[in-house]
Amino acid sequence: MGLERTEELSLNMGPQHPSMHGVFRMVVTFDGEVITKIEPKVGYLHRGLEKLAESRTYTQFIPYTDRLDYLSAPHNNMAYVQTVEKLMGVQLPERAEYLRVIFAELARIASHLVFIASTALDMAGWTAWTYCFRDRERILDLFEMSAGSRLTVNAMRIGGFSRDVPPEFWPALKSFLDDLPDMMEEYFGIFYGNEIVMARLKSVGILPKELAENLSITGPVLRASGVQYDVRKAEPYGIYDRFDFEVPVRYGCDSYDRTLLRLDEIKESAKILRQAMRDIPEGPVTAKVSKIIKPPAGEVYHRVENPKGELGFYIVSDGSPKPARVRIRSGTFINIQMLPIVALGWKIQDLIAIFATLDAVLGEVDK
Amino acid sequence: MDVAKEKELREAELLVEKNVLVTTIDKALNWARGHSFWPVTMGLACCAIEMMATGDSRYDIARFGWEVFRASPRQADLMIVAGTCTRKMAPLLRRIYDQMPEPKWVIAMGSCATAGGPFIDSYAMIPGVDKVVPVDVYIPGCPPRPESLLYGILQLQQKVANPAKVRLMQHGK
Amino acid sequence: MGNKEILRQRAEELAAKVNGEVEEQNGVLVLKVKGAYLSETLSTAKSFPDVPCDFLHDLTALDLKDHFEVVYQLSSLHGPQRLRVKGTVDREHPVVNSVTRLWRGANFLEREAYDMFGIEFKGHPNLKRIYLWDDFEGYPLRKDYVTESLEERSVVLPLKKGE
Repeated sequence: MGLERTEELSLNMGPQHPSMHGVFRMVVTFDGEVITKIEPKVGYLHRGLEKLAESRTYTQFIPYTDRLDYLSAPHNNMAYVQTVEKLMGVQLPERAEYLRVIFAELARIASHLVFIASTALDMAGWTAWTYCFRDRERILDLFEMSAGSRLTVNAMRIGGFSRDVPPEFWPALKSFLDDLPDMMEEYFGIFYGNEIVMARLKSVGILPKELAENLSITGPVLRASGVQYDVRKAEPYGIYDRFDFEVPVRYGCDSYDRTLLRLDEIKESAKILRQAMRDIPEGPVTAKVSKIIKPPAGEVYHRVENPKGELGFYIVSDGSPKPARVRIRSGTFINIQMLPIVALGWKIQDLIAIFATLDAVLGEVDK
Repeated sequence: MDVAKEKELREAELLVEKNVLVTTIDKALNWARGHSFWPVTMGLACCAIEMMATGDSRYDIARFGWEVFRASPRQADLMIVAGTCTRKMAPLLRRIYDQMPEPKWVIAMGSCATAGGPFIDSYAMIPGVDKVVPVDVYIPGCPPRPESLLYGILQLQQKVANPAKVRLMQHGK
Repeated sequence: MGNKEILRQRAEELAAKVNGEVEEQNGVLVLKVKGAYLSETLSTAKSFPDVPCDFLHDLTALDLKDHFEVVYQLSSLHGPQRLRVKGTVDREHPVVNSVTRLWRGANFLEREAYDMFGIEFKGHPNLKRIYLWDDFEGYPLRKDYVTESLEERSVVLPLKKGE
């Protein structure tokens, strides 16, 4: 019986690290290799968007919303412009609504592809990363054809779109959708069916249903814990109530289900895209709105189902061309709160895996 | 320390080498350095995704020899600051720069790193990353296309290979 | 009676108990109360019979010129009810009771409101700044906050021990 003494080790997993999520910092306390306490420290990408919104007009703020969850930029655009249109009571032409759905679902597929890539990368699987990014390039081509920019698209305006998509868009979209089932087969073969991946993710990081509801968690993380809640079905926005799709749910509550769920969501998005491509009418792509957007005084809270969670905008207007308050309710900021609770008692490599399945993008967390 | 002064000192150091006889070994070393940068992953925001897209199979960065993105700054010689550098992140950026061994270069990618970007009048922003580290190449864009990033690194390769010629170009001769 | 009518009835009963008022903004019921009655209002709203508003979407604050308002967006995962609760708080000493014992997800949200507005949440387990660094002076989202000039912002902060 010697004078042995063990101490807890406090490790700083700093803002610069090899994973793809961004500048996220955690101070992790270990007892041996087992985690005893996690303290996430965010704010290294805080750019003050809510304050900037008060000195920009409504239309000038649309490019800033791109930079929130930069992996699914058209979706953020849609959330913001739909909020302002709700305030103003603008009715969009049919073609614009269908185009919005197409852009949003393409953004969802792109974001989930990056999720697969980054989860694979966090577990040192470089192959899946290159495959996913190669397929994502096809979606970025579609965005570039119609809006000019690959990543931060800025495609939507208050009242519709600034211009229509070119005729090359439709054959390219069709060929992408036709190749999608083969791509998913490949991913399953490389990544999901892999034994190592299954061993690292199965039964790791259990998030029980009641805890998820109490923590205000939304998005795929909530649906992998058995709650079938999707804003597109609970409170449909745009024309989502016309499409026939299901909301995938899994009841395992662990990391493997969180990753598998996103594969299911890609399949459902492909279904919606095919229906939209089939039913889209001709017509104008923008409603008649005045040049200077001046919504009447009031407030509104509108939310959409972002690929990462629920993105909500709460806008308070006082009748002037600049908003009085824009509040961005980002899903991942609130979802990160599950990390200190769920990852206790696991080892450090499991912590990386759990954080990867959370799919956090620091642009959205830090605004 | 004053970053502008540091940049001046670095440029002056290049000038000293110009006066000394430039041997073939020096030229060969510079050629080798330029053709095999090892970038450190300083991807902060959206530009990081374009940096990653440069590394994938379409805009292959491996054909130039720069695909070895090291996570640790001690093993890298190029820092591509891709994304927004906020005031909270700036001292950490400087610390990572200090941990890199000589010779080292910095590329400021994107308009946030170059000059503050669209967030310039926010309370949490530094107007450009050249207030923190001395920058060699600025790449504008929001985010810059992968081809722009490749062009920027090629410019840096030219600067490393012929430091004297680039210095003359900068002074408009 | 439809869901909306039941909710309105319950909200009006609650408003009568806590001296609040109910109005409707763009299709959503808004319940305005004074800051002191907020915790009672929220715990009652969370356990409304038939229309429980048990999911907290968002917690934020508004700066109206002479007072603050803390805004809670509530709804439910198992029903279509939506409610917005607003509590007025004094500008000089903004103190409200924390709701972390009702919803654990309010932890980060309250820290953010404290960071941006300076509203203190009594009973919060760890009320520190979350987005800005600890030595930051001022509360940015207040309307009387003046952003520092470019020169002041160009100065790199010193690195503290433990960062």
